[in-house]
Amino acid sequence: MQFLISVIILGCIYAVLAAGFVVIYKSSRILNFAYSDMAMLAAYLAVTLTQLLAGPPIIALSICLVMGFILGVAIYALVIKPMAGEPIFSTIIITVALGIVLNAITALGWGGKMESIPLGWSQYYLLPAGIRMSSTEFIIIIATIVFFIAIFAFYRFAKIGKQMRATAENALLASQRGINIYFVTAFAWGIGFFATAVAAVLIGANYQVSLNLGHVAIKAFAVALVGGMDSVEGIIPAAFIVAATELIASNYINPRLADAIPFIIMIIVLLFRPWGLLGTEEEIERV
Amino acid sequence: MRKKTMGIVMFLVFFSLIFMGHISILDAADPYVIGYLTDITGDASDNYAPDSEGFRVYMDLVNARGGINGHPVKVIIEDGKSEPARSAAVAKKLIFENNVLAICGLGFSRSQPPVLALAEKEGVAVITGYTGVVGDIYNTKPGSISFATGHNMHPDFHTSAYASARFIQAVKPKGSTVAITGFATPGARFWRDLQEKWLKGMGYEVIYGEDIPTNTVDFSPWVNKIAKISPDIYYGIEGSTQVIPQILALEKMGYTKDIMIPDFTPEGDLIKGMKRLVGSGEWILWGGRWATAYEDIPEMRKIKEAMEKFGYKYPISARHFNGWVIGRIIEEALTRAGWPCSRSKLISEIEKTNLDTRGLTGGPIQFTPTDHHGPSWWRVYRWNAEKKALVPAMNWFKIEPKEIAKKFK
Repeated sequence: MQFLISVIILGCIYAVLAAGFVVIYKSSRILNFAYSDMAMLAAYLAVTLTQLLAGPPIIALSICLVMGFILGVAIYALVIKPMAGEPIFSTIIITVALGIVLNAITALGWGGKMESIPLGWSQYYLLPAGIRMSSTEFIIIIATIVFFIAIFAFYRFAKIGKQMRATAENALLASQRGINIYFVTAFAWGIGFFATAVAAVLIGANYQVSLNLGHVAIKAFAVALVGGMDSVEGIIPAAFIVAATELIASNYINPRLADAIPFIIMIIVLLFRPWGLLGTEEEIERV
Repeated sequence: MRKKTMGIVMFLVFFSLIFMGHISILDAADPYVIGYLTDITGDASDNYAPDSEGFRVYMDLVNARGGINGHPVKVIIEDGKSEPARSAAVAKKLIFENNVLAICGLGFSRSQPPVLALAEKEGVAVITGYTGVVGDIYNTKPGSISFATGHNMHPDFHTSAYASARFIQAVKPKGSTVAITGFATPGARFWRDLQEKWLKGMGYEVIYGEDIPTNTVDFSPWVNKIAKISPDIYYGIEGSTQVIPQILALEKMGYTKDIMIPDFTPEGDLIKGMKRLVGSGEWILWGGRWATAYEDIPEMRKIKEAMEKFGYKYPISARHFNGWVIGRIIEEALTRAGWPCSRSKLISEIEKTNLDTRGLTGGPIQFTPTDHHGPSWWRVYRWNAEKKALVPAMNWFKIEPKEIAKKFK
């Protein structure tokens, strides 16, 4: 049972991480390779804000999430939007460079110091069947559920959410129908960075914040591909499949295999279903 | 004509004076160039970045006092990023472009082989706080360039493995069960294997041993196993970014038996970890070759003052002590070597080191032409929740390299 809890916690973290990746891809068709460095920067920002601001950590963390949204929009406006009309390959390379720059900024600014993010509630609980859970783990599960309900509701009910779906399906048609696709894509980048910040806070609270944080964030890429790059729904099964197989490998086969497992799963899924578990086949043709 | 001759003479005298002045200015300003290769970023940065700060702060102090033999010390700090290839590349730059007299730091065992090979070829002294998986620190042969001030992970005489077994002996009775995990690096692997051998010889049962990849973030696979088998003591040979989350996860799993970690987890990180514990944390033991920043040592106060004067990034720790002491070794060797100093001259002066660390270690640091490690003193501390500090759990004990090597055979 304890193993199951580990799978759920890791799966939740992977799901939120991958959501940021998918939201950005869905709207802008860009594989954002700066993703893991964005997560690291967001985590260190959260650390600084919780240290600077007195009062319950929720205030500092909320500010961090808002800052994440603004940073996402700013990155789109400054780096991605000017590349509109250029080959997509160039834009993807730009995200690689952006990642290196963000990594350097984080290393310079925070010196790679080990930190953690307080959530203001620290307790352990012994549940039936000998299961042990921490308050942070409860928060991770609740935050993931709330996050996904919000994101599904956003795509389904919010006007900008519907516009994002329309832009994702056909940007040209969407723009001809009067949708400001730049605004919509900027908003998607904002949500993408917001999701990254949520995941970074959860990782920083449950594990620690260090320059190693990027190692876990990079697994979001594998989860997103397994679920389907254009499918927010696909993220959830993909995240739990990846988390379960990773932990099976590390618990029962060899822990040194753990890091490779998400990518082995990714290769297997791509070989048999290149568009991912719940992605659209047409999407791959377009890519 | 006379006027013209006088003009030429005046011109020559003027230029000669300027030239001589220039030479003397150059002479006074020419620095001793020392490289410090460490891991400011990368997997091992939490262990080694504070070392470089201790060294830099000491050298800032030396330069503020007027340098050594009238010459400033120029310290070039390079980041090896815990990557062997990168470390080798920056070592090459330090040796060939910057013409350094010595390289200090170089803690990460994985990065040592390529750097030491290059340094040995070029005859550049390397003083590490963590030597070494290669080289002949003990039973040193002529031409050897590597020196060690901290732990030692040489497969033939692994002081850290022996000392950590002795630490366990000091706090746990014979017959106790032990679990050991370590960084998936050559040095930690030697450590784990040899510590296990020593412990078995001392009458302990090692019931779990495993490597942990350096970039691991989720430790539940290891932690769940340790909590399940519940050894009497768990020893983690990892840096703070690995060890602290494990301590927290083990507490969550209900494991609050003794957990021992080496002194390369900086105390600042340990404090941060302690704050996250729900319980008292009195099951945490921390030990190695260095005193802690919790002890009231006059030399530690000096380091603190210097850090405040010259600026610092990391909270004061035993890692700073190591960098500081390496700085003192370099200062003494350069003072003896005079000006100008060659690489070989510096090596022979470092070989005369007999440094009183003024309480930062249990005894002096001594090097000779046939021993680049010397005797070392070790001690383990336990976290005291009331004092909010690490307090000694035993007295310092001495390890003679030859004694250990003999026992290995």
